[in-house]
Amino acid sequence: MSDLVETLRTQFSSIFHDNTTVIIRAVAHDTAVCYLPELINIEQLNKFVLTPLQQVHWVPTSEQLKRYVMVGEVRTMESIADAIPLMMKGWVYVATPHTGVVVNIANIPNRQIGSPQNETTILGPMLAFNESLETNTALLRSSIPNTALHKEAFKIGNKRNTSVHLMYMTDQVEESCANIVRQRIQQLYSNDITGSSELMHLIQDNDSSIFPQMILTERVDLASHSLLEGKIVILVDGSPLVIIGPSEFTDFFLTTEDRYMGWGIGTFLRILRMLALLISVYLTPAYVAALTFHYEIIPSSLLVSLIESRSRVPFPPLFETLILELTMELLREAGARLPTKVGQTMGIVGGIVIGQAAVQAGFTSNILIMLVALAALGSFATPNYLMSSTLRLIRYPMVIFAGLWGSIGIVFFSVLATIHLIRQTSLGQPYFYPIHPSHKSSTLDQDVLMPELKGLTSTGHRIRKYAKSFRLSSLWTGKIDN
Amino acid sequence: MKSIWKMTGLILVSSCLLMSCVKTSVLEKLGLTVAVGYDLLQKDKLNVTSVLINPSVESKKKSEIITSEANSNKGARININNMSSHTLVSGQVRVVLFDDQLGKQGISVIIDNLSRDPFFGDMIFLAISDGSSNELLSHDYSQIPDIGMYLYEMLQQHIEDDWVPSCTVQDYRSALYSIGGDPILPILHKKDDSVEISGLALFSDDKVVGTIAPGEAYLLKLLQGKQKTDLKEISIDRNELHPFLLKKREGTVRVVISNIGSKTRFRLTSVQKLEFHVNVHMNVELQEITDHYDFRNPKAKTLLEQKIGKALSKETDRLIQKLQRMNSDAIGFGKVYRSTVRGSNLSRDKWHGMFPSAKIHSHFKVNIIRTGTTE
Amino acid sequence: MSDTDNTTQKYQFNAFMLLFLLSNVQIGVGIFGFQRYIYNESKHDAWLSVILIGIVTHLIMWIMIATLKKHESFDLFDIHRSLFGKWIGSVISICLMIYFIINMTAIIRTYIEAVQSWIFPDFPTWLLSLILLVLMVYGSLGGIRVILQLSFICFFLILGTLILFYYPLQYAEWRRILPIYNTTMQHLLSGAKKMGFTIAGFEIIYFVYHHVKDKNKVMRYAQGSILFTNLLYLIIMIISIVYFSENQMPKTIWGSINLLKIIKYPFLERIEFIAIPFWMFVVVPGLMMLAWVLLRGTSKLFGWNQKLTLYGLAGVVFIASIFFQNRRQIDQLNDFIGEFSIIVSYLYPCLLFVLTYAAAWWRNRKGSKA
Repeated sequence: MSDLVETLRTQFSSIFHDNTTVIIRAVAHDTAVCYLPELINIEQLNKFVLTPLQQVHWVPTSEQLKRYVMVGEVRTMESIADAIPLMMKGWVYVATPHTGVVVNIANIPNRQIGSPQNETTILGPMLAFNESLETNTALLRSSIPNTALHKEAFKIGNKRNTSVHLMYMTDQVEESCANIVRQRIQQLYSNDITGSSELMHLIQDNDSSIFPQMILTERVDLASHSLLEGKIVILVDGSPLVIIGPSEFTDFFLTTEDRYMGWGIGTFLRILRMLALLISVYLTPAYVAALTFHYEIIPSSLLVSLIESRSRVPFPPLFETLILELTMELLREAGARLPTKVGQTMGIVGGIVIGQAAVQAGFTSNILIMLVALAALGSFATPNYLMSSTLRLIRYPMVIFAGLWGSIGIVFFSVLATIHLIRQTSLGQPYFYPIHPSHKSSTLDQDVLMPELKGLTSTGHRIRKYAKSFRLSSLWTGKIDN
Repeated sequence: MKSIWKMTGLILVSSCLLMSCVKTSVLEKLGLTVAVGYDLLQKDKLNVTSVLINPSVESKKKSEIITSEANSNKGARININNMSSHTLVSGQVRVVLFDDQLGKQGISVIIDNLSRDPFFGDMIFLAISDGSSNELLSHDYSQIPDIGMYLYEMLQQHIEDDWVPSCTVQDYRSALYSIGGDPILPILHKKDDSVEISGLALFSDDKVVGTIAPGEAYLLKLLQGKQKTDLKEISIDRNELHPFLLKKREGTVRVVISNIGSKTRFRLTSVQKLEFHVNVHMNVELQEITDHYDFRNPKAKTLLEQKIGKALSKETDRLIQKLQRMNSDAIGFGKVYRSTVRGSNLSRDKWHGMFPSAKIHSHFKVNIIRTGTTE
Repeated sequence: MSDTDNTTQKYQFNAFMLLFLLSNVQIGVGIFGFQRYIYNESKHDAWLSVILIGIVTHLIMWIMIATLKKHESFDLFDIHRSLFGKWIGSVISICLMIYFIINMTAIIRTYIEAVQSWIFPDFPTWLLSLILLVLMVYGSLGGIRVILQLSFICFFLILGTLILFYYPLQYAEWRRILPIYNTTMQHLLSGAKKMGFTIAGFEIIYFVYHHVKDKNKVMRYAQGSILFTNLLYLIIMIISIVYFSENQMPKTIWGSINLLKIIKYPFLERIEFIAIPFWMFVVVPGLMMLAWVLLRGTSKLFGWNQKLTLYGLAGVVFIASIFFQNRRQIDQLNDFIGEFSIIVSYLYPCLLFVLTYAAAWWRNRKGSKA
């Protein structure tokens, strides 16, 4: 009997390099249980594993073990090496000299299902994903109780062995997108990832673009909406964010709340967000261009106040704007790094004090302070955090070009960005298309919710139609097509 | 290897782009000219007065005046530039004045040169100054901190809802280069410590040939039919209205009407005799009448309408005769002629030969739609 | 990451996209100041000239598509080869490509001229040329998809610009358009001929036709696109006639920009300072389309590598565009293109049409004899 314990002990200590990680306890007749004590539920161990095993007075076979242990998930394991990955997840290894089974009585520390912290809405469900893959999958399954909801499981990385789930509606999804995701995830077998955002960067079409090509969300309703639209949802173990793809540029400016609001308010909010996009990208560059080159376009009513506010500023407008934009960014970053309460105070104090003092010291003009604040506000109105960071980032080249070549610079960069966006793809689907090359049905439905379109058909529907009519081609490979 | 080439190319191109600088014109380093005045000195010399915005916050005076003499407009600009601490630019010019001497000599060369420069807008107001424009612009008005903006706002306001016809560069050039039609510009007059619009200058081609008073200008703008006009005072002989006047006396009744909507139609009734008919249909609101008038009688309104119409057409006939005497077709009868007569091959000179001998009749049909809130 | 599945299939698009593509290639820099050239010929009846050339364009488009239908899925380079044989066909194709290169140069140079004379008198020619070419190269690398999408955006930009032309209407004197038809047919025709540089560009249907998926709808959308262009030109022409007076128009080099000069908003004045740079959005897809045609030509005739050809092409156009020094030379270039585009876009398609049907007839007779 103690032979078994001794062999197990030597085996485990050679794997774990110590004797304390795994607890090995002999039970009854030539049977031992091995487990990592932090990861299991001791009560269940006593009740459902140890108590029944006490009654075994012979050397049991694995079939007999399975029958005695009163736990749902039991698997036969031939060797310890096979059992270890599961033991690391809270399974108990029940060993006899000839065979062994693993029993799942895991109790992994986990967060309760909470409400969304970062993507808050006023209306709509208050359900957010958490770090457990099982919980997340369960949340999606319960929100779409349909057999068409298909799940594929993958393992990534040779150290962490992270589980990744791919979910989609079999009757809605565009098969080529699913193939691309599958293919890309399988190529990642050796990458260890810590979260879904890392995975997103690894599998997106063009990683050198600063525009996010897939949506990361913590909201269950957004993910299930997207599933119903025919998109693919990727869940990663240990990450409270799921990846939704393929996504279009305009998807980043939509929230599920638009649908809950009804079409009138929803449409208004979407238009407002588009306006915010334009404001956040163009406002400060326009200021720089107008003050550096195009004084003619300033109307008479603004002229005098602009001159007066600028007359004491020692820097050229380009420099002035860059300083202020960076200050703004600094305030945001510092506020984000500090504990919530301190961060809020600092934001207010920093904003007011620095702003006031900068104007009084003749460092910047007060009109610019207002414009920079407006532009920042515009970028924060974007629901997607990654996209709003991108918008803030592309403002800098825009400002620089505006300072170099005035309106020509602004338009140059706009055309460049537009072409860039058109050239991007998301999981092989076009990323930015104002219109579908393939069909002419209303293109406004996703930007402007029309009454009859407030259902669930928007981008996913179009993607399928698009892909079906094309079976895409050399285009997306970056070659000039023929 | 390929990506290295790509990066090098990208860096080369972008550094190339970034290094090339374009000449900047930073707002506060500019001397923004708001108004310009041209005066004619002897021997074809111009005296140019520029009103600049004074950027300093502290000073009470919001504008800065620089005067220079030169042979040409651009020459003056060069001189003025030498006198200013800022680079002089013309992109914010809003008012351009010409003194009456220059007006008599012709101003189209200067205006053509203004519109040649893309930085001058087409919405700049032009005006003739009664007397030296330099004096008008450089006087230190106690009530007006910024004369340039003040003139701009004054003209704008009077054009929008008063008797001054639109006088932008576009209007001027459009009239000057049309076949059959002459420009008109308002006259600014400096009255002690203030400025007033005293009338309109009539042009024959680009030369000032005469002036008309505000009352006549009202009719002119009405006939041009493009803009809204406001109040007009009319005198009617008491005898003509006496059936409905409550008190019988000698003298005139003064009626003030406001124009609510009018339609002007020109008809060339005879090409050989060069006979025009001008029909004006006016909807008016009675604002004021200097006597007790019996509006309760329906016939009284009709009579008043007839009399107002008659008075207006009499005044209009007088105005048109004045225009014909000066050979200034400010209303644009030549355009009517050109657009109705096929193959006329009209030119400006030809029309100036024809216009004084044209027979022009005007008819007003007035419709009083309201007499205010009481009868 | 890119996918390499089914690369053999050609990219095809819906006929609907032609609506935006053709008009975008047609509308470019010509629109800045086409009015006075026509006005000089047919005076205030210039709008009749615009209608005239519009109708002719519709006819020619019909002829072009009829020719293409006969050749089924060929483009113009193939048609040349099949009609004229390998050598003569290639020579004609090369001539055509040279015409396109000159056309690109003219577009770039005219745009630069507009920018320099209205906004930045001292903006370096080479720099602006480089900016346009960088955009052209970057866009062309994305293939025709980028051109299509961009031209769709431009369509709305052009519509938006059209709304701006409402403002000059407040200064309109409608009497200026009277009496209608006060000139001779000859003048009308020579006025119509002056539209050459402005209206040309629809000949690219010869090259995009076989990329269209539903070929039976091509006629509808191509004609629709041309109708849009014609209406746009007609509207601008009429507005210009009623806005500018008789002797003012011939003095106005940039008629359309002058029309915008009077627009004023409480927060913005002098719209032309914004409209001209924004027109880059419209100019760039036109350039990209021409580059695309050229690349197809060179790869078909000589089998050159498309990417390298694109860079080479950009270099050639860059050097050619900084070669022009003053306004007179640009005018001469545009006149030349105008004359030549009448030949390329109006006379040559007729010839091709006749030859195509003659050849088909000939073959039929031969076939029936044998």
